[in-house]
Amino acid sequence: MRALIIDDSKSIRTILTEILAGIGFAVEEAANGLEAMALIKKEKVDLALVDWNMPDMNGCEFIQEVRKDNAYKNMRMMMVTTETAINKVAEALEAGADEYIMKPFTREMIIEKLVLMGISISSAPK
Amino acid sequence: MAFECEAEISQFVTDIWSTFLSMKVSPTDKPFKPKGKDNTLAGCVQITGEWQGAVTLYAPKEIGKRVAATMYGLDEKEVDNQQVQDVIGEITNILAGNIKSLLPAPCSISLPCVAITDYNLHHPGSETVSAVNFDCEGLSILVVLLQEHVK
Repeated sequence: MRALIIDDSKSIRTILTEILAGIGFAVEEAANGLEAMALIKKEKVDLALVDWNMPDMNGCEFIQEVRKDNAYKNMRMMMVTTETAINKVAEALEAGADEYIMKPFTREMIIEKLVLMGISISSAPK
Repeated sequence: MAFECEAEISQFVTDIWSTFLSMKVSPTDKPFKPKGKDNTLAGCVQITGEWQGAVTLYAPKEIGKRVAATMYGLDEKEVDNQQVQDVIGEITNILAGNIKSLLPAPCSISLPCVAITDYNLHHPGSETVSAVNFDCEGLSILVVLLQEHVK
């Protein structure tokens, strides 16, 4: 499975890449929603981990754009963000996010959410 | 009304450091002292909306290097300024997001900015409502919550 990490912080992308690569994902990175849109047009992405607050195109706008296009209907998306308010969680889920996790997170928390999304960790090929 | 939240800031900072970085920090009464010239990292996130102000985090460059080395899986000597600023920005961002959950809604947080400085960012029209000093492996960190003067 191919995963895309979208976050303007290189350090967060590095941590998430290590977690996902460690459980078998091939991982791509993008620094904002616009970069991510360009990337998913070129290659199939199964899972996107999306930050909310980013320059150019934020995570919620990215999710809305993806959900408008039937070509990406199978892409699973999880918001990974500092936005902790309950109305923000609702906003992300309404936009089309499948799951929501707040920073700071641990490896175990990310894996737990992936399992909740129905993603089989042990069988995820590289 | 001024919004004080030293206890919550202490909890957030302790959680962020332990969860993300596996590093121990603890609140201290010892005041933050800059260590040498141009050796302090200052991260800042603005809060706008129903409550207006800013969250600032001050830390010596040594801490920035340790944290960046942990996050990037590198040796401290291999870490560059950009990586150090990125991690301090992200930690300030996470902290501001946590603090925002205590404030009256709706509020928005800005993207973080980080400077390598002599210490003490100037925020005209704002006053400190909470300031908490931390000890991190013998080095000091300061978190300040500033609120804009209510007109």
